[in-house]
Amino acid sequence: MAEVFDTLRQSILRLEESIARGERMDPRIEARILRDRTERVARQPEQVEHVLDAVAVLAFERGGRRYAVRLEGLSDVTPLVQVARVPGLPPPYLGVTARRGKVVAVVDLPQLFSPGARTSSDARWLVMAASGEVVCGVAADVLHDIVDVGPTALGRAMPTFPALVQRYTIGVLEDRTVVLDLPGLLSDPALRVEDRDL
Amino acid sequence: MKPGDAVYEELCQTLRQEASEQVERIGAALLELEQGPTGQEREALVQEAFRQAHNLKGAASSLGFTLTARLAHAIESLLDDLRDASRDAADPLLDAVHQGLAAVNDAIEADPEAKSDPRVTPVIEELIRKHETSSAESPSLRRTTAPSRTLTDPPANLLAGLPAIDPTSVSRPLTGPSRSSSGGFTQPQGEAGGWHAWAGAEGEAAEEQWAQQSPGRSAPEETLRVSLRKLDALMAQVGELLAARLRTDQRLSELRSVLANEEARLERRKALRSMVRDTAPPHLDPWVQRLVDTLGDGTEHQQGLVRQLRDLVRAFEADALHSTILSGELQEDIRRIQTFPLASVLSPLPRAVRNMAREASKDAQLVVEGADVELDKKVLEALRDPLNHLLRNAVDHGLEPPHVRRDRGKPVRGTIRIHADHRGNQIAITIRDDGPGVDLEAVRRRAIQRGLVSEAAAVDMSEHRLLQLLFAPGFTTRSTASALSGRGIGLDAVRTVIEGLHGTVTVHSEPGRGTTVLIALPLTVYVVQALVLRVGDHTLALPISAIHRILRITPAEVLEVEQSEAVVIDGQPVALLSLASLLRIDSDRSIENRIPVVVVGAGDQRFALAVDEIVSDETLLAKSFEPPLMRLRNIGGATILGDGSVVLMLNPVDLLRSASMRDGERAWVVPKRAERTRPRVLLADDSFTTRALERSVLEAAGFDVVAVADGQEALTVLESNPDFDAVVSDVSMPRVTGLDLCQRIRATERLRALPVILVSSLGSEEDLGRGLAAGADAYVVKSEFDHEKLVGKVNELLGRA
Repeated sequence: MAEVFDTLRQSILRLEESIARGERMDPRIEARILRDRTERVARQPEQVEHVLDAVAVLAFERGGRRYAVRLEGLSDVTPLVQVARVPGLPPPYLGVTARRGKVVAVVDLPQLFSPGARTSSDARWLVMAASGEVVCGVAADVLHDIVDVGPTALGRAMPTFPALVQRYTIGVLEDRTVVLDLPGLLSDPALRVEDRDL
Repeated sequence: MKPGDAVYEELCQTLRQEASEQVERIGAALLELEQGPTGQEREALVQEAFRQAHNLKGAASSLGFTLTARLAHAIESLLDDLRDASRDAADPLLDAVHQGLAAVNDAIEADPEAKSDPRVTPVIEELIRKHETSSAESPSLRRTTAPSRTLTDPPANLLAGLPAIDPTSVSRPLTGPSRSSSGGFTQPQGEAGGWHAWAGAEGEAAEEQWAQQSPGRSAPEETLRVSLRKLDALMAQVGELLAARLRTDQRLSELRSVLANEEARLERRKALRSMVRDTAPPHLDPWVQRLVDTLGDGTEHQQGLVRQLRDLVRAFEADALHSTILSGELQEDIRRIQTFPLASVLSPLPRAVRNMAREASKDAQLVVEGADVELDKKVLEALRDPLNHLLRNAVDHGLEPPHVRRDRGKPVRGTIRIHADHRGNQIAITIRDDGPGVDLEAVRRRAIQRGLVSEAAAVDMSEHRLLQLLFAPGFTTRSTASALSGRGIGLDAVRTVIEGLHGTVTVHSEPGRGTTVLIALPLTVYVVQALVLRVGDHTLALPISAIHRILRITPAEVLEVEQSEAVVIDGQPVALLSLASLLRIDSDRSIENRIPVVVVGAGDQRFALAVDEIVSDETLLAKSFEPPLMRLRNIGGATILGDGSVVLMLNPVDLLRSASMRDGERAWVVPKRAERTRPRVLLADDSFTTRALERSVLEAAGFDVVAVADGQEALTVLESNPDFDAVVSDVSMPRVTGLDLCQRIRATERLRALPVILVSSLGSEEDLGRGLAAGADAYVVKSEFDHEKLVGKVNELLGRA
């Protein structure tokens, strides 16, 4: 540190002497100094990540697995009182339930990820997607908070996910929560049940 | 009030709605009059039509619908002429009134701005001419109506003098006048427009009219127009209510569980207290005494708590029951609002057909069947236009002119039938005429002409394909269009609407006999009378319309026919299947004395379904599934019960198809005899000693033995479980003897082949003969009883020798 001050003091003394002698700086050097100074001053400030890029999602659990869906993709979340099993209705459907006067299908998300996965059928919540004419929901055991998820927090979907799920996975969070485009998923033709082989 | 005001517009809308209903009622009365009734019946019909026309006139006048009022007045006058007209004179009057009715809609559309309209004014003038002609021919026609106005414009709009009207009061339909305190007649207060005040003799005559035309008829029901969107929202709220009701049941169940736990705890405390009191020494240490007292206090407190809990549970149960009843009633009321009978769409059609036929110079009648089927209002509204199109086609293309029909030996009047019924989760509407059928050659020629098919392809085209061409846009076999049809638009439009409702429309033709159009529509919401069943832990509903019979059968009545089970019904074997097996679900039905069976059929096909329990029959509001569930085999939809639970609706048509497809193993209703290492013998003897002896002998010989005390018990066992290899029976037994037992076994299809050995102390030739005559396979005399002989006989009969 002392050397730095000495160097600085020496430079200032020489400058004073030059000014006293009426000397002027070489114009080329002067121009370069001014240019460097201008560039330093005009540098763009650092980009700060905006809070508005975050997406609000509802996190929930089903069968010990964590999922999250965007709030804007939900129509409502209600207690799931009874699921009537339907003979011949294939997985990943648990069955149907009554919802605001309609009979709607209930999907079990773990069975979408792992066909044949066994989950308890005692789900307590129905998370309904809002998507055109599709009126369908997913079962949830536990509801967690509504959280804001920034784009940098989302990891890519695992390549081991089934193709259908990969298409509608927005990302995976650090705590293994899979963030889904639920309306898109439940509207996919692959989930359509139309038994016409009679 | 004036045009543009919200209240005025509301009133106008009410008028339009009412006018439509009044036109329908007048039209219905006219159609009945055309059947030629006489006397009081005829008078009542004319009076009804007149009343409706009069109401229309008054309402239209009060709102400034001048054109409509004039038209209604002209109709009224003709109806007046009709009262005493002869049969010959009546026909042109009826035609004229129909003509007038057809113009009412145009008049309403033109009003209230127009003073004249090219569609309406000529009709009014024509009606006036007819009335004047009729009056000139029959000057003695009784004038019974008031007001005694000539055919001029009705009084000026009275609205300026009226107070502002509460919009809710427009719900009341426009009725006739009622007597006022002055003895004349005024419109009731609150009606849309208090118009005529009739006094004196005219009023009395009017009163007489009203009394005559509505003997014992109650005041018209108040109505209110409600948007479907609001009804849907209301239904959704009812759905929420039912879901909340279900949660209430769960809370009640939890509360009962708490009560049970507390009751058990109370019992334990009481027992402990009793033990302490009984075993404690007479003098206790004060500290111990305090402990004992505390235990006593705690028990008393617990008792009070349990009492309170019991009261709470009882009250909760009563409230829950009441809530269930109310929810069910609410749902039923909403159901009645959401669905309407098909008749609401079909009722105007007979008159429409009449008019179409007149227009085409033909004679036709429309017969409607199944009009009480109830459907979603949206589907009903969508069906109006297609049905009109199809009827136009039927009249124009489907029926021959009267002279042609006469030459062909057919009734001059053609008949078009509309029939509607539920088929599974669809409604089928057929429109059938008795005309010549479709001219397939004309269709073929036109198809070639229009380039729809090549000549070569047209030659081989099937009838089905040719008929489908009728739905092609712009297709018609007509060279010129009539007023009814012929532009090739109708059937294309029909198919577009029906397919928009996810339905299908097909045409069938019988040359010389007629054409049938079949519309099949999936039902989104429909009312169905259903039988509620239980299979395992599934509660299911089956439309009663598909059920032929409900039975309870015994396992003994189940036959085996070529690797299938069957049961005899009305003397014929009917295939028997387990519903659980058909649906691939678990059943918890064990082999019982009586198996509940539902015989289901469609057409000439039927089969019997064994279920676990028949719960009840209910009127249900069934709904289709929401996307992405589009169609499920065997399941037609679901219904939501009063407690919020979902019950699946079975599709009997699918069940029939599934039953005829043997895909994979199917469980037997009565399990087949399992392979056993030890043969099974049923032993019947009223002697305990003999029974024990024979049992031990047979068991030692390697048989499993079921022993009973008499023939009746043996029959009971065989009915519930006929899985035996042989029967060994005494002859002399109370209630049912061995001989009777043997005869009954031989008379039962399923048991006929069961080996029977009679064992008796009666050893004469006659006894032996009687035993063999009863069908016994062997007869062993007890006095000669040799256990080896008995075992040998059984082994011999079972092929184990």
